[in-house]
Amino acid sequence: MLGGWYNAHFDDLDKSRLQAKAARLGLVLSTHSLLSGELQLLDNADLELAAQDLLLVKAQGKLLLLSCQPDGHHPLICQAPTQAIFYPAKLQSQLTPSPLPAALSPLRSLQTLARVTGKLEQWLLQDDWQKTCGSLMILHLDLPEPLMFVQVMPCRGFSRCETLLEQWVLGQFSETTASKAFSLASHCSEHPLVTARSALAIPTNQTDLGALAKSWLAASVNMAFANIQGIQQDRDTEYLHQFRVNLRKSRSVLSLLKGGFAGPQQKALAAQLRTLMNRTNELRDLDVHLLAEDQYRENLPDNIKPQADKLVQRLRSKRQRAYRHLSSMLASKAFQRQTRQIQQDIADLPSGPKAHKAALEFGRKKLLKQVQRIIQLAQQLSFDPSDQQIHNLRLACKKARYLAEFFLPGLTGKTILHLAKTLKKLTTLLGDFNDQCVQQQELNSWLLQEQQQVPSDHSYIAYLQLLCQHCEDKKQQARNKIIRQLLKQLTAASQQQLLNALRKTI
Amino acid sequence: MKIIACYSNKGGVGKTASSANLAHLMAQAGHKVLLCDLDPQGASSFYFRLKPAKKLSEDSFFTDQDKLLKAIKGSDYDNLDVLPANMDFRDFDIFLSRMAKGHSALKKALKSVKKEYDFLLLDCPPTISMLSESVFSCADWVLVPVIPSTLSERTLEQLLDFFTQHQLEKHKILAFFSMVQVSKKLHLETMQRLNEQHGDLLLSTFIPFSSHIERMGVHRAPATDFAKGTPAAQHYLDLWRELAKRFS
Repeated sequence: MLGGWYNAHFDDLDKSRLQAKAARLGLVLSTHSLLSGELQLLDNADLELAAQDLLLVKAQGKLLLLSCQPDGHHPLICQAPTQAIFYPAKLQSQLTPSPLPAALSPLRSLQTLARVTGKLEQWLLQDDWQKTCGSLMILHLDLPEPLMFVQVMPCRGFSRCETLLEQWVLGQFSETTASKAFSLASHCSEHPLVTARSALAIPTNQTDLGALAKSWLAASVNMAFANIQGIQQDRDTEYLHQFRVNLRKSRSVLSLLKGGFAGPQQKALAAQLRTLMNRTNELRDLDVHLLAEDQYRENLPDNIKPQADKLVQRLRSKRQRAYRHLSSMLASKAFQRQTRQIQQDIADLPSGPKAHKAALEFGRKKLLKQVQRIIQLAQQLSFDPSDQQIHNLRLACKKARYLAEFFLPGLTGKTILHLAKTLKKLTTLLGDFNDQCVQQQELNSWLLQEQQQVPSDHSYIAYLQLLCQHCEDKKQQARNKIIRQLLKQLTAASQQQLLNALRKTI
Repeated sequence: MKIIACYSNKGGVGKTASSANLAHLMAQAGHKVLLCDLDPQGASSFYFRLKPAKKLSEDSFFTDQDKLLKAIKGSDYDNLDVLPANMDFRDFDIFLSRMAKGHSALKKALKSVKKEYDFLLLDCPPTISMLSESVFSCADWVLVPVIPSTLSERTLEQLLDFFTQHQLEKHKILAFFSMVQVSKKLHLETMQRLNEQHGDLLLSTFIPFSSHIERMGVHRAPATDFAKGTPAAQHYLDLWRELAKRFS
């Protein structure tokens, strides 16, 4: 199977030569456009796919994995879900395996590194029975220096056709460039995020809490700041999300390992991080709304459908304003000074009264307590719990999830992995519920604003009322799912098993 | 690798259509599949737009593994290859009857493809012969399409008697109703009666009579591809799901 990267333009391909050669074998060439328009180049933060000479491209809801490796990976097209980015099952094996972090990590680890326009065509050679005897996949990317990926797709039992296609490809291009995927991905990703992630130090029995907490804090803050260029370039909402996730982790380190740092300085740093996070709230909320765009369009009566476009349009222009505001803030000298100051403050953070304690024992005891708190909160839940009760459970689960991530690496026992999976599932469900609460709150405030407008737009008001109702239904569904999950996962026997397993780790 | 034979002593019951559609669905589910067309008429090869395997004679099929492997052709679907038939296959019986161990010859011949595929589907010709014995001996499952009519019912009984007489494993047989017309009283009555008599070997999914299945010859493609939204394709999908459960 021949495949490779070539610096050539699509229009330069000599199709007539291939047609003439094919005709001699009694074959006819037909071309099919599979994708065209904007293509997104995806990889994870460490460019693990590109390092294996794999290129993952997303366009029009399809994922295409390209490789020139002769021995294994065939290009494949698989359907992506509507919600942006995920790990396709076939890619799991290509990325670094790690059972516990994988069970805890967020789903959207792949990011859009670049957006380019291009097209993907399939050329088929068919016989007089319209049987495809061989085919070519041609991906063309509109870059300043034109770039093309061409692959001959073999068909078993039709070797003459494969030879014909290979000879044509070799005759078309003077030379192929190996490992283009990596250089292309690196070229497209001129931001610090794609440099290696700073790994969190793994605690041992000898590690002091103070030193460990400080190293984690520095690593989390640096990981948050590594997303800034991605946010400014606005290629993917994932950058802002990861910025906030890492800031939240930093704040959790500060609060969960509180005795490791001196009180006043710890409070001052926590306040700085909170302010930083709050500045991104508006843009993230709008991103969440726009990611749920499909939800705002579903189950609408025909007369109300145009109102959905109006809402999305308003959200987009609001997001544009919020993005401009945040972007200029991030580019300002004051912000750069602030980030430097935060990094300096972390380095200078004085030790607290518990800094000398053994980190592993401290953290696992804390996790045990946190799991006991989750069980206690879950037991207090009725079949129709209040929003506040669910919110408290969510905070407890999140804290437990961070503690598990910090203090259980390397442990792959069945019960521990079960805990990781349960926490992930619960936090996802609780997160969905929280998203619905936030959406409902926002929708109610938009509705109120709209009702106060003179003259009022009745169709738009009716639409917002309908969305509020949908949101309430979804909230109820999310609530039911949480209850079901708790009943399923936290049986008396499994609670005891879990607590015993955790006690054993201390 | 699991070997599944689609077999009936009666012609025109939907063996080839079932083989083609099931092979396509198995491949779509991510399994590597080889559809082996044993019927000299070559209808399942035709459904996949493949011309007869010119160089594969009846003796080379059973004795020359290289030739057999070379005769396998890729279909237009991922994971699905086809071994096309040719008119020489009509002499399989004569050839097998001359062989010392004719009943195990097919098993031996198919050994060479064992590693490459998850499923091997045999589309069998409508005979009870030496070839059928060879098929029954090597198959893990024998899928039998049954039209709910008197003659088809009789054929199923004949097959069961054959298995008893030759001490073959009856549990390999999985029958299903094919070309069912629910508007026909005879079909419904036959289905009910056969279910009472042979409930253990009858699958619960049936395949309805459908013009979409008849049109496979026009499209030269499985109905599960060109007519995937239709009830007929849906029934094949249900059949595959039921079979997948049995196989696992």
